[in-house]
Amino acid sequence: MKRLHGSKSGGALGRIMQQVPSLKLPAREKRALPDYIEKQVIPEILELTFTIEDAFRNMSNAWYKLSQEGKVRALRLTSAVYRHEAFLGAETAGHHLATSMDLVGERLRGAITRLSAGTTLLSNATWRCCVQPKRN
Amino acid sequence: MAVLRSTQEKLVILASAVRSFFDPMAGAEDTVKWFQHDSPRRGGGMTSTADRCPAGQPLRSPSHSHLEQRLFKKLDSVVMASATLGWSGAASDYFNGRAGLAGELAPRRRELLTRFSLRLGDSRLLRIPR
Repeated sequence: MKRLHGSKSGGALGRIMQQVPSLKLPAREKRALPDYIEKQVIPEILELTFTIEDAFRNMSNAWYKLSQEGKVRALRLTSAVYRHEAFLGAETAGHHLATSMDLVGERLRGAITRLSAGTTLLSNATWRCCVQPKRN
Repeated sequence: MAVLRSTQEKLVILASAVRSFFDPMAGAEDTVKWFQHDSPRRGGGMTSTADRCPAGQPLRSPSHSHLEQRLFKKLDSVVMASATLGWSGAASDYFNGRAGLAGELAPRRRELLTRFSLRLGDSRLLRIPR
């Protein structure tokens, strides 16, 4: 997540936003894409960061209760553990985490698709420049 | 772009893994799942409180091939001894399968079952917690 959106350098998304003006994209898309990244992708990444913390805190609590106050290092999930009251909180947090990951993945996929259009246009333009007229 | 792609792919895989972990029916037949205590990484990190990690591994995991390729295949000879594994053929087969000795290395494997001298009836102790 830090590589994606670091607090200091802006991460990969920060670098991409800087490069968008130089991409071969329609002017409207050049304005819309950074807006999409800033308003749709980055907030969900930040939300996922909190969700990860929260989910692992819940799992940690469940592990502590289930393993008799931390006496067991590795706790195998048996059907009894799945039914245990302490496990339900961790389970809910886990589902929330998975949903949040899916959402960020979906937003990233959208960004990748839109950026790919720009890079395809760019590579096509490069290819055209490289084609030499046939000599007779 | 590469970072975006790899992150997106990782998120899809991780979301699926998390769902499988919390679904009691997912992999019920052939997967063992456990909570594992993991030491916090040096320097903290984003998930500094995440010192309890969910984990899962297929029972027929690549670990047997890992042992076969990384350990046994590189050695000229290994002597493995057990007081109880030769008790039945099934136990021996099970061990060979799980330890990576039933595949490529099977032709090189030699087994010796000596006379069972342990008097199990006199030697075993059954303890039942109250």
